[in-house]
Amino acid sequence: MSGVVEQPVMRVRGVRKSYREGDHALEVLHGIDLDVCRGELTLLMGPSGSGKTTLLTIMGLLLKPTAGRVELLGRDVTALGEADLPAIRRRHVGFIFQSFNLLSALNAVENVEVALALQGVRGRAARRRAMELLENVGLAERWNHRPDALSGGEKQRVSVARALASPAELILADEPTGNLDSRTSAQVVETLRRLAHEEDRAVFVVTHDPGLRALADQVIQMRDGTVADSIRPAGRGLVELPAA
Amino acid sequence: MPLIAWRNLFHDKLKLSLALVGIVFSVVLVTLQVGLFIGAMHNCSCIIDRAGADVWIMKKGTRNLDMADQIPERVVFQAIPTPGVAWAEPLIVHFAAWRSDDGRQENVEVVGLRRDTRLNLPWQMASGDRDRILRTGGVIIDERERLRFGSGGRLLALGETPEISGHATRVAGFSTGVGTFTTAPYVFTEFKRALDFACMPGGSTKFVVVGAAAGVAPEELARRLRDRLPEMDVLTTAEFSAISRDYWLFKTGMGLGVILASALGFLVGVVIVGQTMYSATIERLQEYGTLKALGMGNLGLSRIIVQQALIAGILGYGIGSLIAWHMGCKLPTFNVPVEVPLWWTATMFLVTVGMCILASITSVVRVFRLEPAIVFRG
Ligand SMILES: Nc1ncnc2c1ncn2[C@@H]1O[C@H](COP(=O)(O)OP(=O)(O)O)[C@@H](O)[C@H]1O
Ligand SMILES: [Mg+2]
Repeated sequence: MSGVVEQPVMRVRGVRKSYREGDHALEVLHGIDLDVCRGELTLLMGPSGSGKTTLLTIMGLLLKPTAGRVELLGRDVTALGEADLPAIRRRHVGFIFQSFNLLSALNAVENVEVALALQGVRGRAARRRAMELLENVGLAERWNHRPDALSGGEKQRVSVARALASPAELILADEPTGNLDSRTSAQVVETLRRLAHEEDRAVFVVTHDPGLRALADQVIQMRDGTVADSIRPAGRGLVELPAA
Repeated sequence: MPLIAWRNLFHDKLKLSLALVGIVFSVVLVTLQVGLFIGAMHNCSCIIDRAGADVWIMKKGTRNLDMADQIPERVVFQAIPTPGVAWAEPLIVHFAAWRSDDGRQENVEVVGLRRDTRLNLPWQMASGDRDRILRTGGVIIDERERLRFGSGGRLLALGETPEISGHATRVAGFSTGVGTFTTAPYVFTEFKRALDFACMPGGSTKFVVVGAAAGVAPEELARRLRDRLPEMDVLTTAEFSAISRDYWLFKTGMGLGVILASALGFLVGVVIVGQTMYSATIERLQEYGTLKALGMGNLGLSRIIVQQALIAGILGYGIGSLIAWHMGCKLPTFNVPVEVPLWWTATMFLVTVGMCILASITSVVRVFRLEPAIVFRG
């Protein structure tokens, strides 16, 4: 890119997380450092139980790390409480879930409208924008179907459209293709990549699928609660991360 | 976002129906219980309230209309010269035994009115002319008692000849709308006959009722009469009515029973609706968590839950109050002293809203406590 050093959307430094197990604590993240940048699709890979979901939940400002620091757009948000966090998530973070987490009573377009309403867009403008977003993910003609009438791939596309309802710079997805067949997976990841590249968002995706590596700008490998290695397959070279 | 509340509610029709059953049940129960209370309250003072007298004179310590001791009739003449008295007359109310043509016995309360009475009792006739009956003899009973007082399975008819306290008499007219609290219906008759029915000696009465001259306040008149008749209790109509109501509703356990039953009805509603709402909330915890993750605050989430409760509440209120209103109209014809006035039906709306808000508390607390971190855990 240009020579200007752009600030990462999210900077994670020395993040540790312990879960309380009865009377002793079990540490599942042992000091994570990483940067997520605009315009990039980052994949987070690693065996099950290595702490990927925990890390993603912390990055989504839904869980507090036991130690370490999380910066969003240069601001340390680690210490913020539930009074401030909803507004920050609303504005800056978009979520895509493995099990879609659509509101089951609402149809596709209404699901997107709910996210728009949280952005203050309501009524006819919201409907118009929601239809645009659905069109964007190729689902316009299914707008009035409820989640239980949509296929897995369609549901995931609705949730992508919902994530795009906010201007969030950071989009977090936990195994968004985990419940999809490989062809649908490729479509969804392609959409996510487009988001990163065309809309200049930072897209951070947890996945098990090694076939997706080729699409990524950055691949982070996790093992046992640490970052094992971080590569840039598209020839951008290995990024040295500060030691934990 | 009423949309989410609305959709959530109608998405699970079974749960909605359950909540509605709870609300409707509760609305009907509470409305009718309180309706019973209102009806009973009116019944236990309706004679006092509607007689048209301003001041009531009675034996000291009298606590209700129905069980007073006798006083001398001459109190009428002690009252009349008091400044501000327009008229005064004696009135008897006394329990007596009624034996129907087929020999069955029922309790009644005989109301003895002077032939030229100024009292507006009974205030409405279904058949027969009161003044004529007072002149020519016979008794008036409320038409709602015709089934109970009829003989041989037929409705009580005009011209039947029951005995009251062993004295033969004749059913000469039917009143309408005269309820009773004691289950012994009021039977109106001429004062002298009433003395016989009540086995009271001539020259005695139960009450002396007084009408105030134009421009004289009942309270002022009562005060003057009290000075003149220190050995009597002198009460304005409002005071006597309140004392009588208080006696029947609270000194007997009846009122508390009704209040308890309506409180229980309310509670049952809160519990049923609360339970249903709570289980619906638990089912959607992941969705509420998602909304939290998307940046909806606790306030927004509580709003969705309370809105669901309110929508269900309004629907349930609509159905329930229609049923209760209908029953309120029908039941009195079966001699159930239920009264469901419009103001009470309207007030029930607020009661229902309160019930639904109470019912949502557990769900709201649950959502407040919800960790949004659950959203990534299927
Ligand atoms: N809420 C929790 N309480 C206790 N242990 C947890 C909790 N969530 C996750 N863990 C544990 O943390 C470890 C990492 O889990 P997770 O972050 O889900 O890994 P991944 O997503 O890579 O499979 C696992 O051993 C898991 O059992
Ligand atoms: Mg996981």
